[in-house]
Amino acid sequence: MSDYILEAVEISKSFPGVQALDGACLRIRTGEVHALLGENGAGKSTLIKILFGVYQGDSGKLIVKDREFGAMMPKLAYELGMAMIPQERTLVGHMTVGENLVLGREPRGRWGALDRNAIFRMADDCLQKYEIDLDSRVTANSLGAGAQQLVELVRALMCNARVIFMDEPTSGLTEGETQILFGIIERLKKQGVAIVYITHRLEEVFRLTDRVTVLRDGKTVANLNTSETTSAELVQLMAGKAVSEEKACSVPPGEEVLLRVTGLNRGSKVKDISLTVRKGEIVGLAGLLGSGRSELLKCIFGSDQIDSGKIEVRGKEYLIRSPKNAIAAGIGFLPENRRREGLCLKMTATDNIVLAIPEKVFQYGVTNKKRRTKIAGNSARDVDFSPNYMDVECGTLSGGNQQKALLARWLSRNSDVLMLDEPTNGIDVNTKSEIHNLIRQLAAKGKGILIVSSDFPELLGLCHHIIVLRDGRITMDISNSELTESELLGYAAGQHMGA
Amino acid sequence: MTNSKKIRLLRLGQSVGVLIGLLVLAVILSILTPLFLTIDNLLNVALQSATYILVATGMTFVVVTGGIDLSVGSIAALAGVVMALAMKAGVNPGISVFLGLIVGIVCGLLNGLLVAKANLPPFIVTLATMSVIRGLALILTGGIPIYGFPAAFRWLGTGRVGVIPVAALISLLIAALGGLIFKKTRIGHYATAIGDNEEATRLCGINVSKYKALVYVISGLTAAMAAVIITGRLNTAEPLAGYMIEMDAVAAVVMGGTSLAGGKGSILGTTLGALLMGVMRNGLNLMSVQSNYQQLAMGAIILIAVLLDKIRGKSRA
Repeated sequence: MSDYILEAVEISKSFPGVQALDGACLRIRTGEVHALLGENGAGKSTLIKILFGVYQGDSGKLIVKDREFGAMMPKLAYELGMAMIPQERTLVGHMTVGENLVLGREPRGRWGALDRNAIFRMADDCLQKYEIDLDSRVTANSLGAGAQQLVELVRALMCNARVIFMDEPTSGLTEGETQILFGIIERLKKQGVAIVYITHRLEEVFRLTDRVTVLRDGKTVANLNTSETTSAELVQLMAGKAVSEEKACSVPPGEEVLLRVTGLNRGSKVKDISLTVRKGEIVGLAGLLGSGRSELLKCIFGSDQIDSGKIEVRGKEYLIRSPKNAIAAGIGFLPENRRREGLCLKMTATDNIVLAIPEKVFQYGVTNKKRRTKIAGNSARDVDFSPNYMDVECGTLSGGNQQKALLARWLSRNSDVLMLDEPTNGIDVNTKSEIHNLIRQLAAKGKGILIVSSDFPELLGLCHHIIVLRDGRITMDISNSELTESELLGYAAGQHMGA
Repeated sequence: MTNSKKIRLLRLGQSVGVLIGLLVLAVILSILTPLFLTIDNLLNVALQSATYILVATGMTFVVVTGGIDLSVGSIAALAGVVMALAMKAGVNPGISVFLGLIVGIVCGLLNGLLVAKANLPPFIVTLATMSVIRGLALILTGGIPIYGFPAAFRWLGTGRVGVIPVAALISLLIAALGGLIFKKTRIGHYATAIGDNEEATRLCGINVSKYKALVYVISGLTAAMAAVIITGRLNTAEPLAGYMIEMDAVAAVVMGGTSLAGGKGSILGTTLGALLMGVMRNGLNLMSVQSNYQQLAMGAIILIAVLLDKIRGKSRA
């Protein structure tokens, strides 16, 4: 028996116009935590889909537990003990944790009826075995993101999974939840379960993993022991060139107040929020998950209705009841979930960019391709969006390009204030710094920018001013120059209350 | 080949598929029966396809938002009945047609408001209104067909300009107009965007419920237009007219490459799909296939067409 529980050898796969994988290899040992790194578009998702039989590779072979397969099938992968914890939760929300855990394999009582007691007994046994502190009788909806993820993990383990793929498992988790997850990963490792850990967060790679595989342009460019590499080396391997250090914002903001929010309230999520964004200023909204940051942006944008409060743009008060009002006032918004709330995925980049600017696109009620191309092209150039992608369906673009298309949308409207919710979430290192530079440039051109991010170094590197939210209230409103990362984390977690 | 060129070809490919299907079917039919490839018969096909084209054009707007309109057949029946009653009451045919179209618009508006404002699923809404509107048509007529209309009105269904049937001209004109509206105006663009991603469309400041309601109005209007042609051709307004036409329309739309999930569609494809339906029916008639078997054959051909399209789509992905 070989050391490896799972081997993917020389896997190639091409799609029309794209060589997604070009002889990629991935070898996973029993009981190791293995990081799979690569920029967006490097071929990680394609490789995983081939491993799980969602796609068939053009060439190459898969070896699982010493058995060789030319191609995988989803059911076979499951039977071989492979499991995937996707980034998006897949629990049935209205069912209890226990029911979710045994879904599809429910124990039957007399006459084939469901045996509810046996369900919870099975679930509790398993939760105990892996020392996971969860109540099997609460509904999945009532759990936080971290707990839901643990349920998915346990579900995989109950199916005797021996190789578990986790895609960006800590995105959306609080610091506490992350620590719990890491503890469980360590325990699973001791029990011989192999974890393939897909992430963009390098500190987690060093914290957690034994070995690293780096993909670039569909090829495996490195297969290293984590202890023998550095984060600079990994970044370089992923990007294929050295990435310059992030520098803090240098252009000071102007005097004119572009956005002034006073006494904004909505239910329990947004409480008495007042803030200002000046011309050329980048204001960061920090806080933990559930602190009301995204809700605040949605209130300002009119996507959620406010209970009370005042919103002024360029000194003029606007009654904002819908996104239409906010857009007319000069506000642009990049939602947290690009794919679900931002883009029409089957439409081209051009059509997505011009979607918010009908009055220019439609003259006397009609439009033509030429006019759309011209308007979209101009703002696409401003955000370095490649002209080659203008007629490409947005669903096939990388995260970074999708984000640029969304930025271009608001630039074409010439919005004064841009609100960005997690603008670099799930975006690779290289593109991330490109987006950061874009944001700085936009500020330098006089836009006011309000940015929500869970990535504290990002906020510290970008913002003039940082506002910390906790439970829907502002707990700190401070100039960036006075802040360090640990202080910021402290404010967000509520350790420095009253400081 | 540049990337964008390739993509343009692929997009055209959706209409090319149904065009090839249409040509293949035409070749097969002209081999099987000498009657098919005659001017008279082809004009007849154009006439028969006219109602499909009209209804399916409106249906495309609905389907591209991710919705469906099952009530089009009933709307056609009610619009036909209202026109007929008006003409029987001595109203000028032109005004009667106008009244019929208003009926279509009002029925469509009812569907649209229920879908867009009350946020009910389109399938359920139009399933219910399908029954309600058909009921109205039956009540208004007491279930008895109305016949005998002025020649000017009948001309719309039976008349010819040169050799070409007026109805075929009307349907192609409306399809062309529909195609322009679909491609060039807000309603077409926003209907597609809504079907693709409703939330994203809303966050672009677009009044989503307005456009969601509008597509049902368009569908109601084209159904009423079909009613003019059906009533004029048969010289009869039947409360049961347009029965099952929603199925033919949806089939034409889907075969034309419009996604039932919404977000993608074309009126050209739909028109070709509707012609394909017309040619199929005509071919089955020419070969004197019994009507019970026709029903079966139509269903089977639609399934095969959609399956082929799915396979084609997969090999592309």
